[in-house]
Order: sequence, then structure tokens, then C-alpha cells
Amino acid sequence: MAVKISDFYNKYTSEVVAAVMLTEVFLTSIAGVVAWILWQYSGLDPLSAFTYSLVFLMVIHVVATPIIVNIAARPLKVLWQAIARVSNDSTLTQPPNINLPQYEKNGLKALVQTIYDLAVQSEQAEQGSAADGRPALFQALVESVPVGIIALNDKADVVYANTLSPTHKNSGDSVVIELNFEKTDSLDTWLASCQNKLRDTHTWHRVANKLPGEEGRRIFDVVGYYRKRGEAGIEIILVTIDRTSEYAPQEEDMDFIALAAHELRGPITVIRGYLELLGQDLHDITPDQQQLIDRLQVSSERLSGYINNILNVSRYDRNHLKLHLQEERAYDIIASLIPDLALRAKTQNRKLTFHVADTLPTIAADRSSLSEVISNLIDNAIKYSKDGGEVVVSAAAKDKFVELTVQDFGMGMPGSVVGNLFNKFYRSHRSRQTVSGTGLGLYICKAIVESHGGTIWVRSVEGEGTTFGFTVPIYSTVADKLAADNNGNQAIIDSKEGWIKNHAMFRR
Amino acid sequence: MTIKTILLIEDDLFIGEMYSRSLSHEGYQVKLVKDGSEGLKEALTGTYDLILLDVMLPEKRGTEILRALRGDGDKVPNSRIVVLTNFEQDEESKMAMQSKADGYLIKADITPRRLLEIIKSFEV
Repeated sequence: MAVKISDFYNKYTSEVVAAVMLTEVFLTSIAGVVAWILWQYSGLDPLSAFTYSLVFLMVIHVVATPIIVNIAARPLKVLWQAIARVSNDSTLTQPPNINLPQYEKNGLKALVQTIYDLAVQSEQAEQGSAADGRPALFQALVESVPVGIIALNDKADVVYANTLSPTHKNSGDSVVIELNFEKTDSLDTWLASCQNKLRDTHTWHRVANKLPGEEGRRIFDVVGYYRKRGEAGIEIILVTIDRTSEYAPQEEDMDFIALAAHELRGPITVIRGYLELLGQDLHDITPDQQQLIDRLQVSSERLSGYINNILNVSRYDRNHLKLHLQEERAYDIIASLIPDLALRAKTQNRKLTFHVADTLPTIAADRSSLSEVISNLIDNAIKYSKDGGEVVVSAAAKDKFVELTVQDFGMGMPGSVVGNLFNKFYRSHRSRQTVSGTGLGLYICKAIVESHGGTIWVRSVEGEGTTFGFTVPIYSTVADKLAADNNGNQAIIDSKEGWIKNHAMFRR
Repeated sequence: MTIKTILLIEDDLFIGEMYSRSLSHEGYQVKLVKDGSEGLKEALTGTYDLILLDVMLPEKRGTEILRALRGDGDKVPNSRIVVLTNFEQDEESKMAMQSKADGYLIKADITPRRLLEIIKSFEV
């Protein structure tokens, strides 16, 4: 019958008591025999013989006590060895031998076995490693939440990922995250920014696991939680929320527009390209003929611009306009546009004048988008000014902004027109009759300028002309916000009120 | 680097011949290939200083060709690759291509002369 550990103490103390009593009886008996021999054979009187035997008894007690204690304390030694072993005390190399019959009988073996069992259980609880690796409750919990969960350690290695997370195991059996972050706002750039922080949270929108057209493409919103030296070695937790059903239909719309644009751009490429080749091949042409070729070139250029506008509007309409703002000089941006604009002005017989100093403070700008705004405004001024008229482009620093204005001395507009100018597809009755256009240009200009954190305005007097102006922030005034957002414009937009936040263009 | 040989992978006959004509006129040795598979095969010979790559191609798309050439190590270290497309890709695909290629241009936005200027800028 197995001995219960609850019996151990009683059995052990009985054993010790019995052993001590037997030893005492034995030793006392020997002392008695010694006293009797001394009295009988050495001629000592009984008191002396008794005294000598007492001395003898003391001497053998001095020798016997350590031996008895040693034997009685053996189970204690076994317990000490067992506890030292499970607590990983490196000074003990040998495990205690618990397989002796007496240990089995007195319950010591059962006691040591219990210590071992408890140690194993506590270790498993610490590592969370039951038979399948994790306690069932934890496993059930992370698998039943409708989000992906990815845990990473301080080296950004994945230490855990649930089934719904966009991850796969590579050939080396390590887990790889399948998320195509934008280069300027990736997981790595965020982690780098967390280096000097204790905690941080970051959100990404519209992060896909695969490129468009690839099988199994899903689109997620992702939230990252960072905690320096977090529990169980986990520093980063990514939670992925599958938003494919919401985002994918918008992508399909875009696919159609992108395809249509591709089909339209092909012939335009050919027309523009061959016109240029033709121009190079033709010699001895009259100024009249040259003017015809110039007009063809300007028109084909404009057509290619319209297609870009349509693509931009479709992109802006369905999604927040994301820009990457860099430190730029307004002077450089305008200078790079001058050759093209001068050609356009020349073909329509307008005089283009620039008053832009190269000493202006640098601005925070997305160069290609801002170039589009400037070209668009100058194009409009050329269109709506009189034959031989002047278009004046100026720039000046104003408070925290650089303001750029484009002034023409053309027909001007009534107030009713001015109020609607920045609406999508708006074209005044008069401009429909006289000037070609889609009514998208100013809508896009407004979107771009406000995405820079600036404002756009117009002032017009009928018969005298029109001035368009817009502001963009001076770089040094927004450098902090840009640095916090990897040069993205989110922080700048978030700090603005009104149109930019409420307009459909900026709703996700 | 000097650019002498150019591989032009372009399925549109008019556009292909337009660039081919303008580039040959400037003295470049141009090979025009009209489908993706053949384009990739030709590119892998590594004998071209510059590869002008369209995206919407029969047989194999430009994205796949670029991935095959530069996705897993650079298989054509002696070639410059410029993506030349009229297809408006979504931001991700565009950035994926831009990160692998040496240039990314919209055909309708440039003329043959502008393309020549860009090629010459590689030679500086």
C-alpha cells in the first residue's frame, strides 16, 4: 500500500524516538555491565565503580551522539537535496537517492516526489507550456477574438501569432509578418521611433498583405502597442483588424478608372511623342506652321494633364490625400516649371512675369503636388486673361507661411461665380462657352493646398482681373510635426479645423 | 556609367517604334521586345546597359519581370531599369516597383526628348 505524505511526520518521529530509546537502553546497559565488572573484579567499592561507569557512559555518548543525529537527520538531508535540486542550486550535482526501502516505508519517497511534481507544474505555468504549448483557456481566448494578434520580442522576432493574423511560417520555421507597410510609415520606422520611449501606440490604415491582383489579398487596419521590456519578453503587440470588405470595393472602382486612364494615355503618348519627332524632322517651316505644331503640343499636354486630374480626383474622393512633405524652396519649384509654362504663355500670346525671391524661407511641400497647383493656377490665368495680357506670379513670407499669388488682368468674375469656384466640376456659364476644362483643377488645388496645412483664396473684380493666392507653411514652423509623422501630413491636417476635417475627401 | 545598349520591352507598336526611333537616332543600340516572357529572357542575358520596362504586357507583366530581376538579389547588376508605364497603379504597387527600379515614369507625361534627358542623366 502506498504511503501517504501526511503519514511521514508521525512515522519519522516514531522511528527517531525508537532509535534514540534503543540506543539509550543499549548504552545504559553497557554502562551497567561495566560498573558491575569494575565492582566484582577490580576491588573498587560500588560507588567508585558506578562513578567510573558514568564517566564511561559520558564518553561513549560523546562518540555516539553525532552518529545517532546523523542517522536521524538523513531524511532531512534528502529533503534538502531535493529542494536544492528543483531550485537549480548548482553546488549540488547528485540527486538524492530516494529508492531505499525505508524511505518508501516512511513516506519520504512520496514527499520528495511531491516536491518534484510541484516544481514541474510551476515551471510549466511559468512557460505557459502545457501539452499543446499553452493553457487551454489562453489558447481559446486568442483564437476566438475576431482580430489578428502578433507578439514580438525586443529583437522584433515574432514569438506568437494567432490564426487570424497575416503571418506565415518560412522555411526556417520562423514566423514572418505579411504586411506591406508604406516605406515612410513602416513597422520598422515606428519601432525606431520607439527606441527612447517606454510605451507607445501607433495606428496604420489600409495595410494589405499582398499586392493588388495577388491571390488572398486582405486589407487591414493595424494597431501597434509598444512597451519596453514588457512581460514574458514581449515588447510589441500588433493587432490587425480585417477591413477588406470595406476597402476592396473602393479598389475595384479605382481599377476601372486606372484601366480607362491607361487606354486614354496610350494614344496621347503617341500623339505627343510623334509631334515632337515631327517637329525635329521638319525643317524650313514657316512661323505659322510652327504655331500649329505648338498648339497641337500644348493641347496634347493638356489632355494628358486632364487624365492625371481625373485620376487624382478619384483617388482624393475615395481616400484621404496622403502627402510627404519635405523642406523645399518655393523658388526652385517655380524655376523648374518655368520652361513649360513659358511655352504655354507664348503659344497663347501672354506675358508671364515672376517676382519670386530666392531668399524666401524654405517651405514644407510635396514638390510634385505643389507644382500641379502652381501650373494649374498659371494655366487658368493664361486662359482667362486677354490677348497680349500679363500674368504675374509673386511670392512673399507672411507670418508662419509663404504666400504665392497668381494675378491676371483679364475678364474677372462676378461674386456668384467666385463662391463656387472650388467646388468639384463647377464651371461658370461663361467659361463653358469660351474656355475648355473639366472643373476639376481648382478642386484639386484646394485639396492639395489644405493637405499642406495652407489655405487657398481668390479675389476678382469683373473687367479688371483675378488674383488667386495660397499659403504653405514655412518649414521651420512645422518641422516638429513632420518629424513626428515621418514627413507625413497627418499631424498638420489633424491640427486644422473646418473644411479639411469635415470634407468628404478626408473621411476614411 | 556609359549607356550604349538599351532593351525596350513595350507591346504597343506605335510607342515602341517611337522610342526606338528616337533612341536609335541618338546613337543607342536598341532592342525592341513585345512580350513579357521574351523581355525577361532577353533582360537576363545581362548585356543591356538600360532596360525600359512597360507594366501592362502580354505573357508576363512588368511587375513580375521586375520581381524576377531584382526581387531576390540583383540578377542584372550591370543594367539600369526604368519603368515606363501609362497604367496608374495603386500606391503600394507603385512604391514596390519604385523601390526596385532606377526610375519610374508615366509615358503620357513625357516626350521622347525628356526620356533622352533622363537617360543622359544616368550617364553623368
